[in-house]
Amino acid sequence: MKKLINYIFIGTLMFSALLMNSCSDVLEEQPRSELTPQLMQTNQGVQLALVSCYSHLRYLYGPLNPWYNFQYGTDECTYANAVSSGSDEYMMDNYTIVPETGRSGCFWSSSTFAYINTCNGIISIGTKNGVDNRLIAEARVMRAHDQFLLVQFYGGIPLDLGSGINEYNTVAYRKSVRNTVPETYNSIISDLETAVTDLDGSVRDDRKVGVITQAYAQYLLSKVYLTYAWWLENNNQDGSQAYFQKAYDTAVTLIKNSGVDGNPGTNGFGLLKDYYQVNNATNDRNIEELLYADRSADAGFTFSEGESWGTESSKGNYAFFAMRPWFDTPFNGGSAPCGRRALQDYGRPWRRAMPTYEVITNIFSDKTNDSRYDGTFQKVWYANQNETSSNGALDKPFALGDTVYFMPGYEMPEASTPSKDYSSTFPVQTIPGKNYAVFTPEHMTRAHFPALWKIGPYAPNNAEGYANSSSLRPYSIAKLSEAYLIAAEAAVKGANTSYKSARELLNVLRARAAYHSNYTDAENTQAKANMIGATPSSIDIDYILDERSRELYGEQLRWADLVRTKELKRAKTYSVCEYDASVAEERTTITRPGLVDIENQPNSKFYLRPIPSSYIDALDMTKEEKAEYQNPGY
Amino acid sequence: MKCKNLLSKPIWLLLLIFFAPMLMFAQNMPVKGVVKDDSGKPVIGVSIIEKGTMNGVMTDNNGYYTINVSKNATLVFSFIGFKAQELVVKDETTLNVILHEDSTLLNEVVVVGYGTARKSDVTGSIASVDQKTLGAMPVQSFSEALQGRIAGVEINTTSSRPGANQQIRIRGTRSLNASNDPLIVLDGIPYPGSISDINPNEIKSLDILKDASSTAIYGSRGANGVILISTNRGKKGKATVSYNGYYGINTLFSEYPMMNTEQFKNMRELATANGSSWGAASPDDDYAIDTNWQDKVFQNAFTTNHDLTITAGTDKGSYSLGGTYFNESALVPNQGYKRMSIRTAIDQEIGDYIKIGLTSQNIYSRTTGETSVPNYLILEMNPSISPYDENGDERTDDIQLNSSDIVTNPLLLDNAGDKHKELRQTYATYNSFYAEIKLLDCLKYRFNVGLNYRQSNYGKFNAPGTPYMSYNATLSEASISNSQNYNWTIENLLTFDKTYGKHKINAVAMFSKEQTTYQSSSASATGISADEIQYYNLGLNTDKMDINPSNQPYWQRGLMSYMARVSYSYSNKYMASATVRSDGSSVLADGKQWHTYPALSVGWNMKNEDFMRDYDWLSLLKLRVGVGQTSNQSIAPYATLGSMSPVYYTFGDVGATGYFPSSVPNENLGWEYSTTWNYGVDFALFNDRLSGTFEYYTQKTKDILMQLNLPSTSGIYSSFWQNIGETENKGLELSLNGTIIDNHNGWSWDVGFNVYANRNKIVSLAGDQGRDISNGWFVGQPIDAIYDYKKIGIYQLGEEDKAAAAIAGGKPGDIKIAYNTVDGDPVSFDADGVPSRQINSSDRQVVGTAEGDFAGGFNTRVSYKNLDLNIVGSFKSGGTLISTLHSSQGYLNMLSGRRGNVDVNYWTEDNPTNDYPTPGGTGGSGDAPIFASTLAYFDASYVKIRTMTLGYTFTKNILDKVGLNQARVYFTVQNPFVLFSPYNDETGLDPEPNSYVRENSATEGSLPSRFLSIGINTPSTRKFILGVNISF
Repeated sequence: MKKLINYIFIGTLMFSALLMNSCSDVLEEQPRSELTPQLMQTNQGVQLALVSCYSHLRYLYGPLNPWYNFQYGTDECTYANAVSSGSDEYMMDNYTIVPETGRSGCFWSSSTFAYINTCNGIISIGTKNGVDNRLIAEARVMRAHDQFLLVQFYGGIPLDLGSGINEYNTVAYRKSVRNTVPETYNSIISDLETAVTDLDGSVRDDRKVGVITQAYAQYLLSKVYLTYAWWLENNNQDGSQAYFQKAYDTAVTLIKNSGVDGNPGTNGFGLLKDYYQVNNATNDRNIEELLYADRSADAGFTFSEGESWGTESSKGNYAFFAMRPWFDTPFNGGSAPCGRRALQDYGRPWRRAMPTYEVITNIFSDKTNDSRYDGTFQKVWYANQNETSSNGALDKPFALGDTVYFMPGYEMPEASTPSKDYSSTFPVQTIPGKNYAVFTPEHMTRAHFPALWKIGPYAPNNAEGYANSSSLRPYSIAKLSEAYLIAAEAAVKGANTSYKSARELLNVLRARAAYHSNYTDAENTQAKANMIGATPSSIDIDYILDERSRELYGEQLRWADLVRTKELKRAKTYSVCEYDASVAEERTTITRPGLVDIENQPNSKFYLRPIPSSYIDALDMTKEEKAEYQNPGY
Repeated sequence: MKCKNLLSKPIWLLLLIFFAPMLMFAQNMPVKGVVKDDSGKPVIGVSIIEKGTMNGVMTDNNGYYTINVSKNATLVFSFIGFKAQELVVKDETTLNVILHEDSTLLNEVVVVGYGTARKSDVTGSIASVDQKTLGAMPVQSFSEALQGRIAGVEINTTSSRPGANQQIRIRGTRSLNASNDPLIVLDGIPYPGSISDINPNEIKSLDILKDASSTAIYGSRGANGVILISTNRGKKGKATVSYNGYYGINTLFSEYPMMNTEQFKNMRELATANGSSWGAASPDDDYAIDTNWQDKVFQNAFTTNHDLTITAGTDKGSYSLGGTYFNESALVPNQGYKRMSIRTAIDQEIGDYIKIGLTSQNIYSRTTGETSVPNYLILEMNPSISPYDENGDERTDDIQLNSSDIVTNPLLLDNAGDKHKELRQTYATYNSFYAEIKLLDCLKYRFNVGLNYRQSNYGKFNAPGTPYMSYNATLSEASISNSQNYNWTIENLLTFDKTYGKHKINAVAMFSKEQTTYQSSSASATGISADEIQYYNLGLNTDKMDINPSNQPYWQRGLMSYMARVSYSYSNKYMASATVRSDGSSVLADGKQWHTYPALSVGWNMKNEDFMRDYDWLSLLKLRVGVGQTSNQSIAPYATLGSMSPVYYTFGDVGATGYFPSSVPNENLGWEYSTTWNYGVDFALFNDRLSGTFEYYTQKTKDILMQLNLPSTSGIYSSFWQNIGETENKGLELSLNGTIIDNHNGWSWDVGFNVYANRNKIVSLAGDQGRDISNGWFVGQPIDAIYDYKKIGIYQLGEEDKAAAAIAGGKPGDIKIAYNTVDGDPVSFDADGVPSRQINSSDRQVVGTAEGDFAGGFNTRVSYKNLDLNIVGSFKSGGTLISTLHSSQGYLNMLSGRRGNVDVNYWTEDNPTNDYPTPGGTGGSGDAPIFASTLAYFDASYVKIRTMTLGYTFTKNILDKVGLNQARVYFTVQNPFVLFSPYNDETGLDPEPNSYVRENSATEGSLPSRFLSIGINTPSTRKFILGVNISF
């Protein structure tokens, strides 16, 4: 018996031992539903990473924060009535900006650095693995693009992310050292010069629709040269002249390779004949667009990263929400005759930004010969809902298609002064016999103003889409027309004009702007003559900046334009009527608090944005190092 | 692959065991008799052992036994729950014995993890709950029955929806990003399932290990405490059938306090006068109507449970079979929870040395409407809108709340038909098998296998035209998600138990392995071709189908462990226990996978000392102290490997998927350690009439597994798991149980009370970082510190200058915020108190913590003869209650006139309150009053009665006539009332949280998602339940 017990005991022990050994792999790991960074080491991984870099453009072109950063606090716009005091938007516009707020730091984030790092990986691993130079060149342009964006907003950036200058970082690095501005520009210029060479022969849409080609690389390089030249000059450093010249030469090369009048040049790009068509949603991805952050009707590839209606998702195209007036309010407590639609003329009225009085009346002073006002702003809203239950400004019923709001952009002698007649919810101007509300520039308020039509929404397959949704349109990053403005600016700054003078360059754009599709040939000829005739014989930087607004208003450029040219003083004051539902307000001139003495402060801290404090908090560095890291004055 | 034959392997052992011949020992004198209890009933299964030998038998079904013994032998009669008796045989051949029930608390057996121990020998902190306590409340899950019962165990509701799980926290929280959930061990096997899968009726006992000297035996999973659950097993004796059933009506505890039409109209008019553009009436408004939307939609619901168990046993084997059906509906349409379970437990002795057993629990449950909480729609409705058209029928057209918001009539929720379905079906099976071999009298080998499987199939479908979708939706939406969880565990245990005179030694050694594999796949589609297809065929769509690569998780995690424990006691006076466990976990980085956990505890039973003998009033005084280390590895598998994440793009109309390196490998990720000291005193006075436990503990957790956000300039997108930071918990716990009247003229009265206080603190975060605002962590503050502006009232008339200086456009009636003069931006105040700057984000500060000052519970049982009354209550003092219903986050207290509003005491010139701002005052973000997030915070203190039960137990003579063993009927009211609560006083609502803070409100708000809150979830209920327990 005892023996048997022993057998059982031994048998059990053996059995246990068997079990112990049979599954010693329980501590090993093999992920199967996610990919590890090993993928980056393959050629396929490098190519997939390049697609991700294109996708990252959506962080920078489409969402509100990038748009706010370029537009608030400029001479192009100010905040509208849905912006509450104390909000980031308000502080950005007033230059009371602090490092603690989120929006002003939006570029100093993973939406740039993570992709700079991805580009670092594409370039270093791709080069080692013999990936096609073309793809590597695209990654170089992408890296230069982000670094250029950052250096304009924040000054010198860390080129070393943890594994060396422009090296692919794979370590959890919690420190950071900023390079100088010239070091940053040298990196950008070196990347772009290499890319321009490596992209030689590439034409529009050759590899895939909307990919980076030599044309965009040339555009970006010319702008980088121009910006760096200004920086050298503003900081009393040598060499600016050579860079102005390079800016001119590079832009001109691009212009020469491109077409005009709606015809593509050798590179596949060209100016359109009709300015209106440049920004018309049905004509997206036209030959004037050098690069855009693409989105399409395929919502699976456009909405698939957590984007839903109206949320401030980080990659959604909803910047158009910002400069939309309150067109969906009713007049008298009933229903609103005009509702939101996913159409370029309507959209979602967030009332976060508005054009100033000066933009409407001074910059866009010529609304007859220059088609660009109509190609930029929305000025009429037609009734599209609640036909039976809504009344207009005169408290009379509406029919679908009737005009609801009219923002002419000029003063109308026949319009009344604003008042809260007919039990209207808020004061409006009216015209005898007309059932709609009018807001002339003198009386437009922070709630009622012309909308930025250019970037309005569009949902191609679903005619009206979902009114609160972001847009399925591609978002423009660079247009060929800007190359003319870059070359002209370089010429004004003293570049030898081997091709065309500043005036001649601007006149190409101004002549095109004179074209109206609804004018007769004779009228168009007359308009063209008028436009060219109005161009001053001598072009200065102020005129360049005016012309840039006319051509590229609201296109995420302005703040950088004013910073580059040290012209923040242009944004010092603006005028507008405050919105008050109960009484009509007078137009008042407002001085932005942070710019009170800007003309005497060439080194104002406001020429740079603060590095976000949440970022600095995350650094593993001493207090002194952190203080040193921040831009001066913040 | 190596594990493929695992299942077949135990069979070899089984065969060996089955064919093992019986072991026989020669004896020389037969003794027989019957063993009965005090009431004269035979006791089955009493063990009768000839002292000093291995010779022993057990009583049969009628309490009879026969044993051959040597002359003058001493027989030891013992059975759990009775005092053991020793009798000398002498010449008698018949020995009838009456065993007396053992009421001494000390002799209770508690489960201690890989074994049991007499409570008197326990030196760690272990709280036990028996079936009687758990059975006192007819509830869906055991955690509900535990609420307020155990000092140091905080149980919070995370959702008031039927079938939702609760959150259990033992002695506070310690981990920042890893889990704070305790380990649950079901019938000896670590339980991978869901709390709601365990039927509370099937639990025989529940033991909670609170301190590290007890939990170190679970090593890497012990840091958050361990809950050991033992389920019912068969008993020796004839077949017994028992039935527990109840049926209850669930009524609304309290309506959400919304404005009626008059209040709504007044508020709108004031808002309009103050400049709100939302105050105008919509075409659907009629201020002559006063609709109580909640009353129209909420309907009484029911809870029902039927539980049938059959147990039987012979002297060598026993079994228990049972089945349960549970069904609970909700007050809102299309929500509910059903559970059906079948359970088997078999124990069989094979010969004298081998015992095998099997437990199998099989659960099928159906949860409907888990994310379809339509309450926002119900509450946002203006009271001034009628749900009916002119014919008195339910309106089906669009209803306009104001100048632009349009909704669908919430009364249509009930008529969704095929247009709405949300169902989760879960099937789970939890099985454990054991074989126990008595190698020597004092040495046992035990082999445990756990095999668990849980699958969950989820589908959701919504078509346009019901209130579940936006009024203007055009495409239907369907999604499915199916997940499977496989888990196996193998344990090999050797247990040594021997008494040498006054020395008692118990030792356990163990080796175990386990692995869990999880896989889930999901897909969604829009534009399903016909409503009746619902989510059953996503391919039948007119629009698109999506398989999101972020929603297809697969993981596998393994754990390998060695453990040893030695417990020693001397003369019932001195006790000591030492534990060592080594765990290796697959989820940590290579080289950091293994760690060894030590624990030691000692106890001194002072009462048993000679010098204490004269203190008759004292029946127990025991001191104990323990220290141990445990840890936490509750991070996701593969966290150390880094990842490439997918993103999307289109080149023209051609879609493309790209991948970017989103996180990097972490070669240093290791364990998070907690070291706990526990000091306890157990005492009993007046012949055990008053007993209690007092404990003090400190716990330090270091190398915390934290998801650290890297600076963006590292180029690494995702947060990164690191071992950083330190937290601390300190606390006091007191439990008291008293018998005030002990069966005096038929009266008995027992009272129980517990109170505990925990102080949690973050000692350090990453590097010298003092705060992490985005995660809401602040060094020196509790993990659950709430960071926001601090409201100190409302600006009153006469404070115009202060209001204007503090808030752009600020006026009387706006919320007054305190300046943060400690670490906010510099500010000065002039002679009139007017500040030099506006309130800005630097003025945010820690304004409260979810952790209260102290909390606890009480229970009392009064009985007179066959009638008994049980009352269980709980309380909490201090702490901050978050009510998103009241803040800007919920959209229901915007005071703009836009939609239905919570009935709050808002400021007007005639009502200069400091409670709520004036309608249409200065606005902050999203149309809310500026700083309206501060309106969420309330005093969390409460005292409430959880349950009251009146029961009647039928007497034996009645039962005998109808052939029953036992019968009891009872009537229970659950959640009957709140005795004290500032929140309840203001709102009438249940003061306990019903949601996580980012759920059940219109927007997510800015508080980290870990906080609990009162949101607009399925409303809290008061249940009236009638139940019966019968056995025969």
